[in-house]
Amino acid sequence: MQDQTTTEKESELVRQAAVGDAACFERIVDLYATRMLDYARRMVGRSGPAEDLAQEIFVKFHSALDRFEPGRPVAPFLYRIAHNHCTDYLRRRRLPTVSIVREDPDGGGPTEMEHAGPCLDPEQMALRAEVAEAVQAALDALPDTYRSALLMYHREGMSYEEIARVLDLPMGTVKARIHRGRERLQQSLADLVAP
Amino acid sequence: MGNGCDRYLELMHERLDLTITRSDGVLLEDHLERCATCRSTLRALESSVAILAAMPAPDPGPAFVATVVARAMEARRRRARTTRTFTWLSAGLVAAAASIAIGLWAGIVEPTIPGLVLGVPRMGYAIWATLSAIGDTLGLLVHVLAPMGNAAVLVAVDVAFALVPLYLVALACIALIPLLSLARRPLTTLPVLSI
Repeated sequence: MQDQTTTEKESELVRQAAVGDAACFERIVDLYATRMLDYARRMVGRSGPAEDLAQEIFVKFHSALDRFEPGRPVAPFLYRIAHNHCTDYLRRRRLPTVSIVREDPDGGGPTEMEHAGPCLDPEQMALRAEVAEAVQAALDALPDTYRSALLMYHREGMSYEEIARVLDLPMGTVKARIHRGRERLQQSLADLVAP
Repeated sequence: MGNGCDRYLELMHERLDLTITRSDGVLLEDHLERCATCRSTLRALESSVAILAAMPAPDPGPAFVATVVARAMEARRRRARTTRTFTWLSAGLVAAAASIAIGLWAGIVEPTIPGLVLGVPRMGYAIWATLSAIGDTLGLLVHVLAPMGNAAVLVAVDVAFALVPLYLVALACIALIPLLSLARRPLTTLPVLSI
């Protein structure tokens, strides 16, 4: 959740960008580039054109600047565009569901992916390539609706209320999607996070 | 997780959201002490979301912001061109329709307007209207089909096309003046040929 000063500063940047100030627009892009790229990558997976989508999100944001309500936080406005853009992309080109069970190269049938071992520190685990791959595969296997809500909540730190506003859904629906998404994620990552 | 444990799953989510009430928290703790499956589920849920939150965000790279700004500015220019073309198209269509309407009114419905005084046949107005409409249409085609270039050049070309009928009418009038003056000259003023 942003504090009031940040909201006002960002809102002012948007106001300036809307009247053609490229430097202010550049500043906003700089502030949100990592978050938008992260969201796009988690939404469409590693094989998707995440960088291109993230750029298009900002281009759409720029063309919608005149619809931005002054004084409102920028993040929900941007995430609404990001969510719509990513789900449009996924709808146009359905990504194949990736299972975290992979084929044995020797032809011995499917085998469980090697899990990360006894390391239980989430930050250290997250840095391991095979864990990152497994988490992304688990995210890819989630329905789009669960994935977007889960990412906004756990990666972006948005509240249920903010997510409900961004997705234009009742808060109860958002809550249910996050809870079901968590459960599915936990089932997909069972081998990694098994106590 | 047994059937009796299902109701504790929602409490686990509330605990993860840090929204669990004190009494529900005690209830959940009591259950967890007795149920190894739920303890394991809660730990797995906590680990899953912790790993998800700890995944490193991708680096947008140094060229990302500049590329986004360039794409947004190009999109803005394209939107402006589309708006300008649409405006010209609308204006041209109105001008063409007005030309035809005035021509029809002047040439067919109202034959006593000053055109006759100038010696231009009344159907000349209808012809003028048609030529004018052709001029407008050609001007429009230039706008729609020409590669996006300098707006001033486009406007100049359009105006030149729109004025084509005027040049033709002016030329026709100039050609008619000597004939009219000859026709109005009294016969007595004709030079008498001396034999």
